Amino acid sequence: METGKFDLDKSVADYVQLIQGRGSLTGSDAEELKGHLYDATEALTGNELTQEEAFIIARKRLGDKDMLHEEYSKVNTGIHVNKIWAYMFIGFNVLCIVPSFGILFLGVIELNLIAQFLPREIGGILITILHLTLCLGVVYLIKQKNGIAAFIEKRVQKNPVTTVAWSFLPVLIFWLVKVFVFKNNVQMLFQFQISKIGSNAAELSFYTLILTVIFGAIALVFSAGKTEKLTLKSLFEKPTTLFLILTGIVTEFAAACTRMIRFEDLLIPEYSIIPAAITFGLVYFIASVVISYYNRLNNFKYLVIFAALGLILETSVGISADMTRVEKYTPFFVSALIIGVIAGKFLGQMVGKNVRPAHN
Amino acid sequence: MKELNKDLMASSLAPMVLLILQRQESYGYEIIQQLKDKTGGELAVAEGTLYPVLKKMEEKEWVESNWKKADTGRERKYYALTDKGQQELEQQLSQWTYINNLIQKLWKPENSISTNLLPIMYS
Repeated sequence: METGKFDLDKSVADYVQLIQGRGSLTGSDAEELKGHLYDATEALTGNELTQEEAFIIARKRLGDKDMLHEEYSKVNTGIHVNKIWAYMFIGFNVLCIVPSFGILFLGVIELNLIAQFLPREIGGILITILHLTLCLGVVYLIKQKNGIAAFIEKRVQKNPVTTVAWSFLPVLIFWLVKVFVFKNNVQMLFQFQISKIGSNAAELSFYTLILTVIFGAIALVFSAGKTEKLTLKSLFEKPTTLFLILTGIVTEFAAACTRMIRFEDLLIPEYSIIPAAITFGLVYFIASVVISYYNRLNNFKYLVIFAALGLILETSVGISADMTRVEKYTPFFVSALIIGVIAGKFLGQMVGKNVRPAHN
Repeated sequence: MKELNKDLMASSLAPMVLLILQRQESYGYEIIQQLKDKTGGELAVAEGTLYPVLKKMEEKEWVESNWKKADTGRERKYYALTDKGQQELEQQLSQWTYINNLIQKLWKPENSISTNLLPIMYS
């Protein structure tokens, strides 16, 4: 072995860092272990051993990193508790700043760039594409939740203070941008109104984006107590009542948003209610297929819980709206909802039976 | 090299460390060397496991620690026995003596497990 190339300081620091990276060592513990490695290496060097060989023996005698992590974690229980606070600060910053940046970004791009400089039709298409791309981005991020969590955990284990400090950086940037860059237009930027663009597709895709974010948050919360990866199966198989109610609310909003599609402009106005009701029912149909597919047994109970709120809303709000207008739309939407859920139940069951025979 | 049971090692390490610190204050590496010297190098224990034991003892106020600068220029964490640690040591020693006597008594052929229980166990 060539002692000339060996760097004791680096080797000692690297090994202790390896143990510290597991998250159970305080700074003082790390210094103490470093001191031990220096003392042991120094004592061993000379007896026909090079410094590098002495260090290898000292490191071996100190003990395996996993074992040391285990022993230290028994006495340093406070580290774990303190790190929960680091996670809470990071979580607060992320949840505060991501929606704010999202609104700022959309406000700048859509209201100030696209809507002002491009014709309405082209602007509307571009904004719709942007929204749908962001939807895919949100889905991608949610699918990467394990990787993101592992990254944050690794950073916090390694250096909680620096990680929390970094999490404040976007907050600071946001504040600086708000105050110094857009000082004259702050109100306009923050009162982001998608309806000003004048494109139904852009508006519908915007609400789809919002609902994707909301359902993504629900999925993240409901996957918290589960060990498997976040998939449709892990979410919808044997769902809780609360999850079904929340899914029902999101579905109702998604279905209601489809009313923005102006079928009267595309078809004969008198019959436009039929495609509108079919589109509305289609949203319920898709959700019902998913629930029934993953729950071939007992899905009737699940579907009733899932659709109950939507049915009540559509009936009550619909009747009160029908009273103020000539056209009576409620029977169409309520029927579409019921038919969509029932059709979804049968299709989901049928496909589920063929594809997933081992379960349920 | 004598391989001790992990639990037995964990419970006996504390009184051994307290005994060493009873003589004079010391730091981790030196404590380990003394343990090795006294056992003729027969005690097989990962050296790093001593430090969590010292931390636990500090938490219980049996020892107190201070960072001091060594001749090498590096800082070392020295541990010293407290009054509470002294009391604990005396208590633990009396407990170990009691357990040791009990085992010795049970080990003697006239009272031992080997004469009374083993024939039954292996019959």
